Amino acid sequence: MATVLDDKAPRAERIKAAKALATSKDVMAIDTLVRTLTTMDEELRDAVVTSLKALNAGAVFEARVVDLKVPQQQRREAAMGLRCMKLPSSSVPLANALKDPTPEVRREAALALSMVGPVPAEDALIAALADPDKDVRYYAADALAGVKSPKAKEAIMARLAVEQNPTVKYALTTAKNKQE
Amino acid sequence: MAPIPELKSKPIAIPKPITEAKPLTPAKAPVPTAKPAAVKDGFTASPATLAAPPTTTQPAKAGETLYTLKGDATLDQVASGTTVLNKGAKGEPVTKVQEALIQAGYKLPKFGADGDFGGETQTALKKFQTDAGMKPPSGVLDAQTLKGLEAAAAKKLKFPEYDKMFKDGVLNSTIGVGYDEAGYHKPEINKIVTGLVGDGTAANKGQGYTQFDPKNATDDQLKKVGIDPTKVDRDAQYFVKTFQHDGKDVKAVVKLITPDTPNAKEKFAKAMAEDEMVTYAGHGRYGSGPDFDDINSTAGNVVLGKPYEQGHVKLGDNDLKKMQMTNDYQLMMFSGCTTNKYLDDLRSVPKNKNTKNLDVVASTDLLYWNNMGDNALTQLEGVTSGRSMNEIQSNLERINKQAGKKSVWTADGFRDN
Repeated sequence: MATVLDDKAPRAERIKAAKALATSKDVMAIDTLVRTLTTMDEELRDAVVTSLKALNAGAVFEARVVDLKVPQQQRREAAMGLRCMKLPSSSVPLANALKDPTPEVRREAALALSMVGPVPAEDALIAALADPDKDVRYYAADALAGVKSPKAKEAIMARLAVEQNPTVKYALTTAKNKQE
Repeated sequence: MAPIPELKSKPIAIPKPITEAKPLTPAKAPVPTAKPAAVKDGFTASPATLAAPPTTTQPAKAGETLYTLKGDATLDQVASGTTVLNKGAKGEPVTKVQEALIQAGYKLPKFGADGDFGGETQTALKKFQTDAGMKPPSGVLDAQTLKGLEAAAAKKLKFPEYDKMFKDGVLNSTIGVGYDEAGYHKPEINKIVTGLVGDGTAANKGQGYTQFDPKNATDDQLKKVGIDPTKVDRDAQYFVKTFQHDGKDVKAVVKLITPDTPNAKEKFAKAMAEDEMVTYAGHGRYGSGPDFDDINSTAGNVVLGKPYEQGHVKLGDNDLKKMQMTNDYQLMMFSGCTTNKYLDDLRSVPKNKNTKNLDVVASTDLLYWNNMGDNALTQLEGVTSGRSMNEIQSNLERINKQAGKKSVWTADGFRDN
């Protein structure tokens, strides 16, 4: 299992190891795979996502991301996993995760929604534009850019009028331009 | 399995603008920062993808040098003659000495700058002492050796051709952030924007840039910040600031191109043809070129050459063949997987580009997404601070450090600088 995460291992071996985990009975397989997702190797990541799907990790992540009894890091990684798996069913749990008590999870949830499908989470994302955490606001603005609706546009414009953080303003401006 | 540690970005302590074009004393900049991907237990961490962006730049003080072995408590003691470094020493001071040895031309082929003063380092140090006329060579780092090594390393520094880049008082540059199918480019764009403009607080002003919207700007407003009204892209996001080079003001104009930018591919190709500095952070697409949309689409690929493996990426016509590349000097930095594959194409397809008018910094291995923003910021900061290419590369190596690998970057074309 460690081969998947090992930078020193030959690329082909890492890919092979990722594929092999698709049939793993080890409960740690999903956690190992999700931690490989930041790789820039497209083929390796495709293999990881394919194995996660084979392990039905989507259901695991959708349950974990809103379960406050699960450690924060696992909730965050669950959102990351859902972002990479892009399952349409994930929009609702991710929208609920925007209410997570920790900003790290809310950031990942907002970011994930921009890739998974933000439309079902429109109201939650609009609310997240006022989140105290600047990065949550940034990713909420980015996700709302994908919701082409008058309501989303109005919310983006309203936030742009009061937002003070320059990076969030950048995201809001980009979102506004995409709405137009 | 060990839990994955949180990898929080430290602020990029930043350097100091130089007061002279080429500082004579190479010196170690306090640098980067972002986290290496490698972690304990032989595992590669899935880093905190949404870690706080690095902060950056502070203006330099007159007379400061950019690269020195001084500033480290242990090496300061060596310089003052109160201690020496022997075989068996370990840690950051040893790493700095090893980097200086490598920079001065004394290779450490087996272990590199690993922070462990072993036989290889001792042999290299003896060779340096012999060449420097120190008899007998002791293999011990004492005050005399430290001073000589610092000077020798300084002489070997290579710089981007700053005088050419800044000759009109403007640095025209573009940062392109490529597309990732899982959205990993988004936190990196966040990181880059924050690294440029800060977070709106007095404590974090980033590299001191101001965002500039050219949409309705007049020609005078554009000229004031350094943007040529005849070349302005009214739909683009610009960031501007003024920095000092060789005692003169230079206006830095940074255009940010992302997958959200309309016609990103065309705009980045234009930047590659014209700009003095171009930075790309994103997938290398198997050595074929930058890409601003999904791997299964040909629309966003800036095709520089053929991929080194077939069957992964869909490509349209070669864009490099269509580019009317400037004859002027350019610096290009490509931060992605094995972007060194671009090198041959960049200097062979455009007939007017060669090592004299095109220097390239590229990666030689697989990289990680969470380092892309820091790489781009480090490259930009290095140029506007007048750093040597050696130092910029060294900083990139630290950011992208991977267990068991000595180097994942190459700086190509600087030998004739």
